[in-house]
Amino acid sequence: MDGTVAAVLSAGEMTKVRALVKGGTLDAAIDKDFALGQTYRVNQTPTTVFHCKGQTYPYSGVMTYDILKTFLEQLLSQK
Amino acid sequence: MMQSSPFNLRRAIIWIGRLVLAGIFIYAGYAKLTMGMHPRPPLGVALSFFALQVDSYQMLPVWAVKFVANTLPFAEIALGLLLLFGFGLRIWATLITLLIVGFFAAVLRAYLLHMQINCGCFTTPEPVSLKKIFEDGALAALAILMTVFAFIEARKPHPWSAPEKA
Repeated sequence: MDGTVAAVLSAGEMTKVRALVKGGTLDAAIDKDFALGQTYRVNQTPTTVFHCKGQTYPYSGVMTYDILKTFLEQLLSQK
Repeated sequence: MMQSSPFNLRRAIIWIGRLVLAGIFIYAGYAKLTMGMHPRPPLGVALSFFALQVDSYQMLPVWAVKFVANTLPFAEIALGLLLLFGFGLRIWATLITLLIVGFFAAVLRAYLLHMQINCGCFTTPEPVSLKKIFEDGALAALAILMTVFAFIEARKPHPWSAPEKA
């Protein structure tokens, strides 16, 4: 894992990443994200969760722009 | 004697198929329109969200995705009711069988391509998995049997009709 990340980051960035990992401060953020994913029953990637007017619409899979645009327009046109 | 009985195996399978498939189709159509939400979202939102799910299979062009999304939920409810009523059974059984075989092929394709998508069949998000393929396969087999038996039974005299005079 370390080698893969190091291959795409600069030495300075990699030092910061290693410090964050060693510090253990990321664990709480990861746990929070994981709990949020369980709330929305996220079980695969990519998953997009739309929120509008108190309703939640979780969607798994890739999207075509035209179809996504239509859905967003319908969501925003709700009274 | 057995052939003229109203309770032979073929007729039992036709009845089971009608009840099971009609129930599933009516529920599936209703679920797509209401999304299992309270209060029910506007129809446009439900249909456009279903369009996203149809699109996730990446099989159809945009116009076809919109056509399927705007017609399939209503067609499912109508076909389910027609199958339940039984009038013109062979026509509706054939159409339902074609639809189920189409669904089965789409789900199987998505599974074989390792697509990370939900089935989009009902309200609960169900990932495309081997379990889902077996479920759809079982429904397709039931639909095919029901349709074939409906055609066979239609060629025979009705079990409650008066016997033909020699």
